[in-house]
Amino acid sequence: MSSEHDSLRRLRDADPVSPEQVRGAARKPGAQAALDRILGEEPKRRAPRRGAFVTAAVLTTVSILVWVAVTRRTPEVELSTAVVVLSEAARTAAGAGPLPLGSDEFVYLRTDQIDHVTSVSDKGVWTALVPRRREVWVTQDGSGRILEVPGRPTFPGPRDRILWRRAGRPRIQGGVSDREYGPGRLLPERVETLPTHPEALAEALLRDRVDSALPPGVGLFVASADLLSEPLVAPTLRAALFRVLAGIGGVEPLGRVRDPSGRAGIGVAITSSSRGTLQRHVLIFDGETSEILAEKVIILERQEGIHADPPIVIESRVYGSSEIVSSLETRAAL
Amino acid sequence: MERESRAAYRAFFEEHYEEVLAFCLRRVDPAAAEDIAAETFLVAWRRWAEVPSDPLPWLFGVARKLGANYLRSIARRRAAVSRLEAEATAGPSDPGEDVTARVQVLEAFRRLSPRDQETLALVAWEGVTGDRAARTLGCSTGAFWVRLHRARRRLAKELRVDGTPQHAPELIVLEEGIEMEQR
Repeated sequence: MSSEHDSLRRLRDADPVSPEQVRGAARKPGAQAALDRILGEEPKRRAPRRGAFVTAAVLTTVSILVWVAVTRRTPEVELSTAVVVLSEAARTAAGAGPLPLGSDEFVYLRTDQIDHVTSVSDKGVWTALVPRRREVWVTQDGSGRILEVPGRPTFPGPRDRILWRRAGRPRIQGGVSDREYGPGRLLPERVETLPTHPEALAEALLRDRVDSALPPGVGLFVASADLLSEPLVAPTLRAALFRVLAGIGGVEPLGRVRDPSGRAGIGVAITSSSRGTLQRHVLIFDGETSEILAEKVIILERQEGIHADPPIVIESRVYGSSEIVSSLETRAAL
Repeated sequence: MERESRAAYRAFFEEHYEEVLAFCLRRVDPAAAEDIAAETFLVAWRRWAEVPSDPLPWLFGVARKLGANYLRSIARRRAAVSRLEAEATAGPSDPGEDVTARVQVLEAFRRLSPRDQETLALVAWEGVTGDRAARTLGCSTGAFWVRLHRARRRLAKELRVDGTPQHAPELIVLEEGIEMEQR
Protein backbone atom coordinates (compact mmCIF):
# COMPACT_ATOMS: atom_id res chain seq x y z
CA MET A 1 0.00 0.00 0.00
CA SER A 2 2.79 2.39 0.87
CA SER A 3 4.37 1.89 -2.54
CA GLU A 4 1.04 2.87 -4.09
CA HIS A 5 0.98 6.10 -2.11
CA ASP A 6 4.61 6.65 -2.94
CA SER A 7 3.90 6.20 -6.65
CA LEU A 8 1.20 8.85 -6.48
CA ARG A 9 3.58 11.22 -4.72
CA ARG A 10 6.25 10.57 -7.35
CA LEU A 11 3.69 11.25 -10.05
CA ARG A 12 2.71 14.49 -8.34
CA ASP A 13 6.36 15.55 -8.31
CA ALA A 14 6.67 14.74 -11.99
CA ASP A 15 3.88 17.11 -13.01
CA PRO A 16 4.75 18.07 -16.60
CA VAL A 17 3.32 21.56 -16.12
CA SER A 18 4.99 23.92 -13.71
CA PRO A 19 3.03 26.72 -12.04
CA GLU A 20 5.28 29.24 -13.80
CA GLN A 21 4.11 27.95 -17.17
CA VAL A 22 0.54 29.06 -16.61
CA ARG A 23 0.96 31.92 -14.16
CA GLY A 24 -0.76 35.01 -15.53
CA ALA A 25 -1.89 33.08 -18.64
CA ALA A 26 -5.40 34.55 -18.52
CA ARG A 27 -3.94 38.04 -18.97
CA LYS A 28 -1.81 37.15 -21.98
CA PRO A 29 -2.86 38.51 -25.38
CA GLY A 30 -3.88 35.10 -26.75
CA ALA A 31 -6.20 34.40 -23.84
CA GLN A 32 -7.63 37.92 -23.88
CA ALA A 33 -8.27 37.62 -27.63
CA ALA A 34 -10.06 34.31 -26.98
CA LEU A 35 -12.10 35.96 -24.24
CA ASP A 36 -13.10 38.80 -26.55
CA ARG A 37 -14.13 36.30 -29.23
CA ILE A 38 -16.19 34.35 -26.71
CA LEU A 39 -17.92 37.44 -25.37
CA GLY A 40 -18.66 38.46 -28.95
CA GLU A 41 -21.12 35.59 -29.03
CA GLU A 42 -24.54 35.48 -27.49
CA PRO A 43 -24.89 32.70 -24.93
CA LYS A 44 -27.76 30.36 -25.77
CA ARG A 45 -29.55 30.96 -22.50
CA ARG A 46 -28.55 33.95 -20.48
CA ALA A 47 -29.71 33.72 -16.92
CA PRO A 48 -28.20 34.16 -13.50
CA ARG A 49 -25.87 31.35 -12.63
CA ARG A 50 -27.49 28.74 -10.52
CA GLY A 51 -25.90 26.21 -8.31
CA ALA A 52 -27.45 23.07 -9.60
CA PHE A 53 -25.21 21.00 -11.78
CA VAL A 54 -27.34 20.26 -14.77
CA THR A 55 -25.42 17.77 -16.80
CA ALA A 56 -22.22 15.80 -16.84
CA ALA A 57 -21.93 15.55 -20.58
CA VAL A 58 -21.75 18.71 -22.57
CA LEU A 59 -23.07 18.41 -26.06
CA THR A 60 -22.07 21.34 -28.10
CA THR A 61 -22.29 22.65 -31.56
CA VAL A 62 -18.92 24.33 -31.26
CA SER A 63 -15.98 23.22 -33.26
CA ILE A 64 -15.02 20.00 -31.59
CA LEU A 65 -17.06 16.83 -31.36
CA VAL A 66 -17.27 14.88 -28.21
CA TRP A 67 -17.25 11.31 -29.32
CA VAL A 68 -17.56 10.23 -25.72
CA ALA A 69 -21.13 11.43 -26.08
CA VAL A 70 -21.85 8.11 -27.74
CA THR A 71 -21.94 6.52 -24.37
CA ARG A 72 -22.61 9.48 -22.10
CA ARG A 73 -25.21 11.55 -23.84
CA THR A 74 -27.10 14.47 -22.40
CA PRO A 75 -30.80 13.72 -22.55
CA GLU A 76 -31.71 16.59 -24.80
CA VAL A 77 -34.87 16.37 -26.84
CA GLU A 78 -33.16 17.67 -29.98
CA LEU A 79 -30.43 15.11 -29.88
CA SER A 80 -32.78 12.30 -28.95
CA THR A 81 -34.73 13.03 -32.07
CA ALA A 82 -31.60 12.98 -34.20
CA VAL A 83 -30.58 9.76 -32.53
CA VAL A 84 -34.00 8.28 -33.14
CA VAL A 85 -34.13 9.12 -36.84
CA LEU A 86 -30.56 8.00 -37.46
CA SER A 87 -31.01 4.79 -35.50
CA GLU A 88 -34.13 4.13 -37.52
CA ALA A 89 -32.15 4.75 -40.71
CA ALA A 90 -29.53 2.29 -39.42
CA ARG A 91 -32.22 -0.35 -38.99
CA THR A 92 -33.55 0.32 -42.48
CA ALA A 93 -30.05 0.15 -43.95
CA ALA A 94 -29.31 -3.11 -42.15
CA GLY A 95 -32.51 -4.65 -43.45
CA ALA A 96 -31.82 -3.69 -47.06
CA GLY A 97 -30.32 -6.40 -49.21
CA PRO A 98 -27.22 -5.73 -51.31
CA LEU A 99 -27.87 -4.46 -54.82
CA PRO A 100 -28.63 -7.48 -57.03
CA LEU A 101 -25.80 -6.64 -59.37
CA GLY A 102 -24.92 -9.16 -62.08
CA SER A 103 -21.31 -9.69 -63.09
CA ASP A 104 -21.87 -7.93 -66.40
CA GLU A 105 -23.92 -5.08 -64.97
CA PHE A 106 -23.12 -1.65 -63.59
CA VAL A 107 -24.44 0.51 -60.80
CA TYR A 108 -25.14 3.95 -62.18
CA LEU A 109 -25.15 6.99 -59.90
CA ARG A 110 -25.56 10.58 -60.95
CA THR A 111 -24.52 13.41 -58.64
CA ASP A 112 -25.16 17.08 -59.24
CA GLN A 113 -22.73 19.01 -57.17
CA ILE A 114 -21.66 22.55 -56.47
CA ASP A 115 -18.24 23.42 -55.10
CA HIS A 116 -16.88 26.78 -54.14
CA VAL A 117 -13.64 28.16 -55.46
CA THR A 118 -12.03 31.05 -53.60
CA SER A 119 -9.29 32.87 -55.43
CA VAL A 120 -6.79 35.41 -54.21
CA SER A 121 -5.47 37.96 -56.69
CA ASP A 122 -3.94 41.39 -56.40
CA LYS A 123 -7.40 42.76 -57.15
CA GLY A 124 -8.91 41.08 -54.11
CA VAL A 125 -10.34 37.81 -52.89
CA TRP A 126 -13.43 36.47 -54.60
CA THR A 127 -15.46 33.29 -54.60
CA ALA A 128 -17.29 31.41 -57.32
CA LEU A 129 -19.67 28.48 -57.11
CA VAL A 130 -18.95 25.84 -59.71
CA PRO A 131 -21.63 23.28 -60.58
CA ARG A 132 -20.69 19.89 -61.96
CA ARG A 133 -22.59 16.81 -63.03
CA ARG A 134 -20.82 13.61 -62.10
CA GLU A 135 -21.93 10.25 -63.45
CA VAL A 136 -20.42 7.03 -62.22
CA TRP A 137 -20.80 3.52 -63.59
CA VAL A 138 -19.24 0.88 -61.38
CA THR A 139 -19.14 -2.91 -61.52
CA GLN A 140 -18.89 -5.44 -58.72
CA ASP A 141 -15.10 -5.46 -59.03
CA GLY A 142 -14.84 -1.71 -58.65
CA SER A 143 -13.99 -0.93 -62.26
CA GLY A 144 -16.05 1.46 -64.36
CA ARG A 145 -16.34 4.96 -65.70
CA ILE A 146 -16.66 8.50 -64.38
CA LEU A 147 -18.01 11.27 -66.58
CA GLU A 148 -17.82 14.80 -65.19
CA VAL A 149 -19.34 17.79 -66.93
CA PRO A 150 -18.88 21.24 -65.41
CA GLY A 151 -21.65 23.81 -65.53
CA ARG A 152 -21.65 27.59 -65.65
CA PRO A 153 -20.15 29.14 -62.51
CA THR A 154 -22.13 31.60 -60.45
CA PHE A 155 -21.01 34.08 -57.83
CA PRO A 156 -22.32 34.38 -54.27
CA GLY A 157 -22.54 38.17 -54.57
CA PRO A 158 -22.08 40.92 -57.19
CA ARG A 159 -18.76 41.95 -55.68
CA ASP A 160 -17.37 38.46 -56.27
CA ARG A 161 -18.23 38.81 -59.94
CA ILE A 162 -16.67 42.29 -60.11
CA LEU A 163 -13.44 41.09 -58.54
CA TRP A 164 -13.34 38.11 -60.90
CA ARG A 165 -13.69 40.49 -63.84
CA ARG A 166 -10.97 42.75 -62.47
CA ALA A 167 -8.73 39.71 -62.12
CA GLY A 168 -9.03 39.24 -65.88
CA ARG A 169 -11.90 36.73 -65.92
CA PRO A 170 -9.75 33.67 -65.24
CA ARG A 171 -11.27 30.32 -66.18
CA ILE A 172 -12.84 28.85 -63.06
CA GLN A 173 -14.20 25.48 -64.06
CA GLY A 174 -12.28 22.59 -65.59
CA GLY A 175 -13.28 20.84 -68.80
CA VAL A 176 -15.28 17.68 -69.40
CA SER A 177 -13.61 14.61 -67.99
CA ASP A 178 -14.50 11.10 -69.13
CA ARG A 179 -12.35 8.24 -67.87
CA GLU A 180 -12.57 4.52 -67.39
CA TYR A 181 -11.01 2.87 -64.37
CA GLY A 182 -9.66 -0.60 -63.64
CA PRO A 183 -10.77 -3.05 -60.93
CA GLY A 184 -10.99 -1.64 -57.42
CA ARG A 185 -10.43 1.96 -58.49
CA LEU A 186 -14.01 3.09 -57.97
CA LEU A 187 -14.58 1.55 -54.57
CA PRO A 188 -13.80 3.50 -51.41
CA GLU A 189 -10.28 2.61 -50.36
CA ARG A 190 -10.05 -0.41 -48.01
CA VAL A 191 -13.75 -0.21 -47.32
CA GLU A 192 -13.84 -3.95 -46.66
CA THR A 193 -11.50 -3.53 -43.71
CA LEU A 194 -13.75 -1.09 -41.89
CA PRO A 195 -15.29 -2.47 -38.69
CA THR A 196 -19.06 -2.54 -38.35
CA HIS A 197 -19.19 -1.85 -34.63
CA PRO A 198 -20.08 1.85 -34.41
CA GLU A 199 -17.42 2.83 -31.88
CA ALA A 200 -14.68 0.89 -33.67
CA LEU A 201 -15.86 2.34 -36.95
CA ALA A 202 -15.79 5.87 -35.57
CA GLU A 203 -12.25 5.31 -34.32
CA ALA A 204 -11.19 3.96 -37.72
CA LEU A 205 -12.76 6.87 -39.55
CA LEU A 206 -11.21 9.40 -37.20
CA ARG A 207 -7.84 7.74 -37.59
CA ASP A 208 -7.76 7.30 -41.35
CA ARG A 209 -10.48 9.17 -43.15
CA VAL A 210 -11.32 12.35 -41.35
CA ASP A 211 -10.04 15.63 -42.72
CA SER A 212 -7.77 16.82 -39.92
CA ALA A 213 -8.58 20.45 -40.73
CA LEU A 214 -12.16 19.85 -39.60
CA PRO A 215 -13.28 19.48 -36.01
CA PRO A 216 -13.47 15.72 -35.46
CA GLY A 217 -17.25 15.73 -35.05
CA VAL A 218 -17.77 17.49 -38.32
CA GLY A 219 -15.07 15.38 -39.94
CA LEU A 220 -16.76 12.23 -38.75
CA PHE A 221 -20.09 13.51 -39.98
CA VAL A 222 -18.66 14.27 -43.43
CA ALA A 223 -16.67 11.01 -43.69
CA SER A 224 -19.73 8.96 -42.71
CA ALA A 225 -21.93 10.82 -45.18
CA ASP A 226 -19.38 10.34 -47.95
CA LEU A 227 -19.25 6.60 -47.42
CA LEU A 228 -23.02 6.38 -47.15
CA SER A 229 -23.35 8.04 -50.53
CA GLU A 230 -21.11 5.45 -52.21
CA PRO A 231 -23.11 3.02 -54.33
CA LEU A 232 -21.57 -0.33 -53.37
CA VAL A 233 -21.18 -0.11 -49.60
CA ALA A 234 -22.47 -3.22 -47.80
CA PRO A 235 -25.73 -2.86 -45.82
CA THR A 236 -24.01 -3.77 -42.53
CA LEU A 237 -21.46 -1.01 -42.98
CA ARG A 238 -24.16 1.47 -44.00
CA ALA A 239 -26.06 0.60 -40.85
CA ALA A 240 -22.93 1.14 -38.77
CA LEU A 241 -22.31 4.49 -40.46
CA PHE A 242 -25.79 5.67 -39.50
CA ARG A 243 -25.08 4.54 -35.94
CA VAL A 244 -21.85 6.53 -35.97
CA LEU A 245 -23.83 9.58 -37.08
CA ALA A 246 -26.31 8.92 -34.29
CA GLY A 247 -23.47 8.97 -31.79
CA ILE A 248 -21.99 12.30 -32.79
CA GLY A 249 -22.63 14.97 -30.21
CA GLY A 250 -24.18 18.12 -31.61
CA VAL A 251 -26.02 16.52 -34.52
CA GLU A 252 -29.37 18.24 -34.80
CA PRO A 253 -32.50 16.90 -36.42
CA LEU A 254 -34.01 19.05 -39.15
CA GLY A 255 -37.14 16.97 -39.50
CA ARG A 256 -38.75 16.42 -42.87
CA VAL A 257 -37.07 18.57 -45.48
CA ARG A 258 -36.71 18.76 -49.25
CA ASP A 259 -33.40 18.36 -51.00
CA PRO A 260 -32.28 20.89 -53.65
CA SER A 261 -34.02 18.82 -56.35
CA GLY A 262 -37.32 18.89 -54.43
CA ARG A 263 -37.35 15.34 -53.08
CA ALA A 264 -38.68 14.84 -49.55
CA GLY A 265 -36.30 13.38 -47.00
CA ILE A 266 -35.12 13.57 -43.42
CA GLY A 267 -32.45 16.08 -42.55
CA VAL A 268 -29.77 16.13 -39.88
CA ALA A 269 -27.06 18.75 -39.46
CA ILE A 270 -23.99 19.63 -37.49
CA THR A 271 -22.75 23.17 -36.96
CA SER A 272 -19.18 24.20 -36.36
CA SER A 273 -17.24 27.40 -35.98
CA SER A 274 -13.78 25.93 -36.16
CA ARG A 275 -12.57 27.62 -39.33
CA GLY A 276 -13.39 31.01 -37.99
CA THR A 277 -16.83 30.96 -39.54
CA LEU A 278 -20.00 29.28 -38.46
CA GLN A 279 -20.78 26.52 -40.95
CA ARG A 280 -23.51 23.95 -41.09
CA HIS A 281 -23.15 20.54 -42.70
CA VAL A 282 -26.50 19.08 -43.70
CA LEU A 283 -27.28 15.51 -44.67
CA ILE A 284 -30.62 14.56 -46.18
CA PHE A 285 -31.64 10.94 -46.55
CA ASP A 286 -34.67 8.99 -47.65
CA GLY A 287 -36.47 7.76 -44.55
CA GLU A 288 -38.00 4.83 -46.44
CA THR A 289 -34.82 3.43 -48.00
CA SER A 290 -31.98 5.13 -46.04
CA GLU A 291 -30.48 6.27 -49.36
CA ILE A 292 -28.59 9.52 -49.18
CA LEU A 293 -30.37 12.22 -51.15
CA ALA A 294 -28.17 15.24 -50.62
CA GLU A 295 -25.40 16.91 -48.64
CA LYS A 296 -24.91 20.64 -48.19
CA VAL A 297 -22.45 22.96 -46.53
CA ILE A 298 -23.95 26.29 -45.54
CA ILE A 299 -22.04 29.31 -44.28
CA LEU A 300 -24.00 30.97 -41.51
CA GLU A 301 -21.98 34.14 -41.04
CA ARG A 302 -19.91 36.51 -43.12
CA GLN A 303 -16.67 35.07 -44.35
CA GLU A 304 -13.71 36.86 -45.82
CA GLY A 305 -13.55 36.33 -49.56
CA ILE A 306 -17.28 35.70 -49.97
CA HIS A 307 -19.12 38.91 -50.71
CA ALA A 308 -22.67 37.99 -49.86
CA ASP A 309 -24.90 37.80 -46.84
CA PRO A 310 -25.30 34.43 -45.17
CA PRO A 311 -26.72 31.86 -45.23
CA ILE A 312 -24.90 30.76 -48.38
CA VAL A 313 -24.76 27.19 -49.67
CA ILE A 314 -21.12 26.84 -50.64
CA GLU A 315 -21.16 23.12 -51.37
CA SER A 316 -23.87 20.71 -52.29
CA ARG A 317 -24.25 17.19 -53.61
CA VAL A 318 -27.54 15.87 -54.88
CA TYR A 319 -27.47 12.13 -55.40
CA GLY A 320 -29.73 10.27 -57.75
CA SER A 321 -30.92 6.77 -56.94
CA SER A 322 -28.41 4.01 -57.55
CA GLU A 323 -29.73 2.04 -60.50
CA ILE A 324 -28.50 -1.08 -62.22
CA VAL A 325 -27.74 -0.61 -65.91
CA SER A 326 -26.35 -2.90 -68.56
CA SER A 327 -23.58 -0.83 -70.11
CA LEU A 328 -21.20 2.05 -69.56
CA GLU A 329 -23.35 4.23 -71.79
CA THR A 330 -26.75 3.52 -70.23
CA ARG A 331 -28.21 6.09 -67.88
CA ALA A 332 -30.94 5.92 -65.30
CA ALA A 333 -33.30 8.77 -64.56
CA LEU A 334 -32.54 10.98 -61.55
CA MET B 1 -28.20 42.25 -16.85
CA GLU B 2 -26.27 41.81 -20.07
CA ARG B 3 -23.34 43.81 -18.74
CA GLU B 4 -23.43 42.06 -15.36
CA SER B 5 -23.41 38.68 -17.02
CA ARG B 6 -20.43 39.57 -19.20
CA ALA B 7 -18.53 41.06 -16.29
CA ALA B 8 -19.22 37.96 -14.21
CA TYR B 9 -18.07 35.77 -17.03
CA ARG B 10 -14.88 37.80 -17.49
CA ALA B 11 -14.07 37.34 -13.79
CA PHE B 12 -14.90 33.65 -14.05
CA PHE B 13 -12.57 33.31 -17.08
CA GLU B 14 -9.71 35.04 -15.32
CA GLU B 15 -10.20 32.99 -12.18
CA HIS B 16 -10.15 29.59 -13.84
CA TYR B 17 -8.25 29.95 -17.11
CA GLU B 18 -4.87 29.01 -15.65
CA GLU B 19 -6.17 25.80 -14.13
CA VAL B 20 -7.96 24.80 -17.32
CA LEU B 21 -4.90 25.64 -19.43
CA ALA B 22 -2.69 23.56 -17.14
CA PHE B 23 -5.17 20.70 -17.40
CA CYS B 24 -4.97 20.91 -21.19
CA LEU B 25 -1.18 21.29 -21.27
CA ARG B 26 -0.86 18.03 -19.36
CA ARG B 27 -2.83 16.19 -22.00
CA VAL B 28 -2.07 17.68 -25.39
CA ASP B 29 0.62 19.72 -27.12
CA PRO B 30 0.84 23.40 -26.16
CA ALA B 31 -0.71 24.84 -29.33
CA ALA B 32 -3.73 22.57 -29.06
CA ALA B 33 -3.92 23.15 -25.31
CA GLU B 34 -4.62 26.85 -25.80
CA ASP B 35 -7.27 26.08 -28.42
CA ILE B 36 -8.95 23.50 -26.23
CA ALA B 37 -8.87 25.80 -23.22
CA ALA B 38 -10.51 28.50 -25.33
CA GLU B 39 -13.11 26.03 -26.63
CA THR B 40 -13.82 24.96 -23.08
CA PHE B 41 -14.59 28.53 -22.06
CA LEU B 42 -16.66 29.02 -25.19
CA VAL B 43 -18.80 26.06 -24.13
CA ALA B 44 -19.04 27.61 -20.66
CA TRP B 45 -20.24 30.89 -22.12
CA ARG B 46 -22.79 29.18 -24.31
CA ARG B 47 -24.00 27.21 -21.31
CA TRP B 48 -23.49 29.97 -18.81
CA ALA B 49 -26.75 29.28 -17.05
CA GLU B 50 -25.75 25.66 -16.48
CA VAL B 51 -22.25 26.20 -15.11
CA PRO B 52 -22.40 25.03 -11.49
CA SER B 53 -21.23 27.02 -8.49
CA ASP B 54 -18.21 24.72 -8.19
CA PRO B 55 -17.24 25.07 -11.83
CA LEU B 56 -13.83 23.43 -11.98
CA PRO B 57 -14.95 19.78 -12.28
CA TRP B 58 -17.43 20.90 -14.93
CA LEU B 59 -14.74 22.79 -16.85
CA PHE B 60 -12.34 19.86 -16.56
CA GLY B 61 -15.10 17.56 -17.79
CA VAL B 62 -15.59 19.69 -20.90
CA ALA B 63 -11.85 20.09 -21.50
CA ARG B 64 -11.33 16.38 -21.00
CA LYS B 65 -13.83 15.50 -23.70
CA LEU B 66 -12.53 18.09 -26.12
CA GLY B 67 -8.98 16.92 -25.44
CA ALA B 68 -9.86 13.25 -25.79
CA ASN B 69 -11.37 13.99 -29.10
CA TYR B 70 -8.34 15.94 -30.22
CA LEU B 71 -6.13 13.03 -29.21
CA ARG B 72 -8.11 10.77 -31.43
CA SER B 73 -7.22 12.91 -34.39
CA ILE B 74 -4.32 12.16 -36.64
CA ALA B 75 -2.07 14.52 -34.69
CA ARG B 76 -2.30 12.28 -31.64
CA ARG B 77 0.84 10.27 -32.14
CA ARG B 78 2.94 13.21 -33.17
CA ALA B 79 1.81 15.25 -30.19
CA ALA B 80 2.41 12.42 -27.77
CA VAL B 81 5.88 11.80 -29.09
CA SER B 82 6.85 15.44 -29.06
CA ARG B 83 5.72 15.71 -25.46
CA LEU B 84 7.58 12.60 -24.40
CA GLU B 85 10.66 13.60 -26.33
CA ALA B 86 10.54 17.03 -24.78
CA GLU B 87 10.30 15.46 -21.35
CA ALA B 88 13.10 13.03 -22.08
CA THR B 89 15.53 15.57 -23.52
CA ALA B 90 14.79 18.63 -21.42
CA GLY B 91 17.71 19.78 -19.34
CA PRO B 92 17.14 20.15 -15.63
CA SER B 93 15.62 23.50 -14.91
CA ASP B 94 16.54 23.09 -11.29
CA PRO B 95 19.99 21.64 -10.61
CA GLY B 96 18.54 19.62 -7.77
CA GLU B 97 15.83 18.05 -9.87
CA ASP B 98 16.15 14.39 -10.63
CA VAL B 99 15.24 14.45 -14.30
CA THR B 100 15.88 10.78 -14.86
CA ALA B 101 13.50 9.78 -12.12
CA ARG B 102 10.91 12.22 -13.40
CA VAL B 103 11.10 10.85 -16.93
CA GLN B 104 10.92 7.34 -15.53
CA VAL B 105 7.72 8.19 -13.67
CA LEU B 106 6.22 9.86 -16.71
CA GLU B 107 7.10 6.91 -18.92
CA ALA B 108 5.52 4.53 -16.43
CA PHE B 109 2.48 6.78 -16.39
CA ARG B 110 2.27 6.77 -20.20
CA ARG B 111 2.28 2.98 -20.22
CA LEU B 112 -0.97 2.94 -18.29
CA SER B 113 -4.34 2.88 -20.02
CA PRO B 114 -5.86 6.29 -20.86
CA ARG B 115 -8.47 5.66 -18.18
CA ASP B 116 -5.86 5.05 -15.50
CA GLN B 117 -3.89 8.07 -16.68
CA GLU B 118 -6.94 10.29 -16.48
CA THR B 119 -7.82 9.16 -12.99
CA LEU B 120 -4.30 9.57 -11.65
CA ALA B 121 -3.70 12.89 -13.39
CA LEU B 122 -6.82 14.36 -11.85
CA VAL B 123 -5.70 13.43 -8.38
CA ALA B 124 -1.97 14.04 -8.65
CA TRP B 125 -1.86 17.06 -10.90
CA GLU B 126 -5.22 18.77 -10.72
CA GLY B 127 -5.74 17.93 -7.08
CA VAL B 128 -9.31 16.92 -7.77
CA THR B 129 -10.63 13.87 -5.99
CA GLY B 130 -13.75 12.18 -4.67
CA ASP B 131 -17.05 13.61 -5.72
CA ARG B 132 -15.48 16.41 -7.78
CA ALA B 133 -13.33 13.96 -9.72
CA ALA B 134 -16.37 11.76 -10.30
CA ARG B 135 -18.18 14.75 -11.78
CA THR B 136 -15.26 15.46 -14.08
CA LEU B 137 -15.11 11.87 -15.26
CA GLY B 138 -18.87 11.45 -15.48
CA CYS B 139 -18.99 8.46 -13.15
CA SER B 140 -20.26 7.75 -9.66
CA THR B 141 -18.10 8.61 -6.67
CA GLY B 142 -17.84 4.92 -5.79
CA ALA B 143 -16.69 4.09 -9.30
CA PHE B 144 -14.07 6.83 -9.06
CA TRP B 145 -12.58 5.40 -5.86
CA VAL B 146 -12.41 1.96 -7.42
CA ARG B 147 -10.76 3.40 -10.52
CA LEU B 148 -8.27 5.31 -8.42
CA HIS B 149 -7.41 2.30 -6.34
CA ARG B 150 -6.75 0.17 -9.41
CA ALA B 151 -4.89 2.89 -11.28
CA ARG B 152 -2.63 3.54 -8.32
CA ARG B 153 -1.87 -0.14 -8.01
CA ARG B 154 -1.00 -0.39 -11.69
CA LEU B 155 1.23 2.68 -11.53
CA ALA B 156 3.03 1.21 -8.54
CA LYS B 157 3.50 -2.00 -10.49
CA GLU B 158 4.95 -0.09 -13.45
CA LEU B 159 7.36 1.72 -11.17
CA ARG B 160 8.39 -1.41 -9.27
CA VAL B 161 11.51 -3.51 -9.81
CA ASP B 162 14.01 -0.63 -9.68
CA GLY B 163 12.12 1.31 -12.32
CA THR B 164 12.81 -1.14 -15.13
CA PRO B 165 10.00 -0.96 -17.69
CA GLN B 166 7.76 -4.03 -17.69
CA HIS B 167 7.44 -3.87 -21.44
CA ALA B 168 8.68 -1.80 -24.35
CA PRO B 169 8.31 1.93 -23.84
CA GLU B 170 5.43 3.51 -25.72
CA LEU B 171 7.80 6.02 -27.22
CA ILE B 172 9.31 3.40 -29.53
CA VAL B 173 5.92 2.26 -30.70
CA LEU B 174 4.85 5.82 -31.31
CA GLU B 175 8.00 6.60 -33.25
CA GLU B 176 7.38 3.60 -35.46
CA GLY B 177 3.84 4.85 -35.96
CA ILE B 178 5.15 8.15 -37.18
CA GLU B 179 7.67 6.55 -39.48
CA MET B 180 4.88 4.50 -40.94
CA GLU B 181 2.80 7.59 -41.32
CA GLN B 182 5.58 9.42 -43.05
CA ARG B 183 6.23 6.66 -45.57
